[in-house]
Amino acid sequence: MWGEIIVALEVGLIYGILALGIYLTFRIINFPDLTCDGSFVLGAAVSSMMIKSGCDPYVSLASATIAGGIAGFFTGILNVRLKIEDLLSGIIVAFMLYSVNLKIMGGNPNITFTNELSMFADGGASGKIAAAVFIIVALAAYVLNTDFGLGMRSVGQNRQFAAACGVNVKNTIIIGLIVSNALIGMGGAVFSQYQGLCDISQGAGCLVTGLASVIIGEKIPGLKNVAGKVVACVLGSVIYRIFITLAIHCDIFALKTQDLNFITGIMMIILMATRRKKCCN
Amino acid sequence: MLQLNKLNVRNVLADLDLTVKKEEFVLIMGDNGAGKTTLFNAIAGYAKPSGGSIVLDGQDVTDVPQYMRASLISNVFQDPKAGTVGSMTLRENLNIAYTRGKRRTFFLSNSRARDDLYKEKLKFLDMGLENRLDDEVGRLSGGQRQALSIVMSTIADSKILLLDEITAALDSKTSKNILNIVGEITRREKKTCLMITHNADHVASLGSKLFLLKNGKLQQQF
Repeated sequence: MWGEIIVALEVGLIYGILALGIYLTFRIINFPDLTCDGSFVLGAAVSSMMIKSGCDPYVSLASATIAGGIAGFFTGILNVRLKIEDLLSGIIVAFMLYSVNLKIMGGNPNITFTNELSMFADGGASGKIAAAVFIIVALAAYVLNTDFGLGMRSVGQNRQFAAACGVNVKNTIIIGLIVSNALIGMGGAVFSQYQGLCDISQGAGCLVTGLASVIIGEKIPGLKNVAGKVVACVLGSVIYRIFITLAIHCDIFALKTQDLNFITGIMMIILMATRRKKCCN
Repeated sequence: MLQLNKLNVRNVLADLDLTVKKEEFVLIMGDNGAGKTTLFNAIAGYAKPSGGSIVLDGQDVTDVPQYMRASLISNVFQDPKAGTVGSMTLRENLNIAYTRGKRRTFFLSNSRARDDLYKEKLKFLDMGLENRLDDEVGRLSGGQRQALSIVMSTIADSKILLLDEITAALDSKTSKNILNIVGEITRREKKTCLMITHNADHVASLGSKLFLLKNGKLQQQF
């Protein structure tokens, strides 16, 4: 049981990177981006294939991050330049990424590699993951409090006002999508290295789990300013994983792993239905 | 300061000419649908003119994209909610307004110098807002919020201030107060202003010139 809690913590932190990416689009620039189911696997696929071909795991991690960013860039171009609806832009890119990911994986729906090749080869998984997440969270909290970050946040809250203040709204949306999907790609890469596995269907439900983490994080009292909200995303992800682990291990509920999506959905519905009424915009 | 030459926008403005001199306060009236807001949108760069030119401070900005004009033009909107972000604090709102038209860098926004400037400007409103920099703007009343957006529109330099029916969403007492604030701030900061209004009373207290927008053209009343 204790071992499983540790695993839940580690997986929670890894998915925290993903949750942060989703927070950036859904909350900061207010763009419902559905690219993530594709870009998560893209990161995993790029990283796994590079590792299999003998590449340094950290180089593969960086490449996966860049690949995710490129996916986000295309979603942005579809929406901003080609004027395709935001939801649809993400859906189309995620849809196309399925083929791209299979191609990267050499036509195999899943690849496995031994743990000795990954960044977790010499152990200390918890420490490495925690350090990586800490750096990302600190960087995100910093940037969102700079003039650049404030401009970005204003785009999500009030586009008319942002434009009047000279923020380049279109480019800001593209940058937001790039950074968000880069983080999601990174999350996918870390997760695949953690598992020693990359599967084409790994991304299914990424969006919902990420969003669930964001929503749980928003329920944590006391984290009101933007730096707090960034931390809350990661905490939300960890809480979500631990909750799921406990729920599945409690015999009284008689829940199995395959019930995961259903429980997650119920949890999200409850949390969203009880959300505090927004007093302002 | 601002010169419009034979400006055409869709079928709303037809060969419209206007010259606004430095530090002038020009009022524009007109029926609904006459094209007042279209005129503002053309000046600010939201609407693309089909003909004519817009010259601001000697610089032809007709083809300059909207976000690049933000260093020259500032706005106060009709709806106080449009000109501010309710879910952000006063300080954050002011920070965004302070960097209007400037390069947005990766340095932290908050600084002692900025805080002092914000407090000084807000003190002038006499609404106690200088002590509420950490409050969310959504907690302010409509009048306070509009007063804040006036301060925000003047906190960074601009060549012209566009005021679009800024009291339309406020009650008469608050309107009066807001107009006083606009008058005092624009006089003190030597702003050049263009204001859309429906209220002829505003002319006496603010305007140096009044135009009527009709059939796509401006007619000077006095």
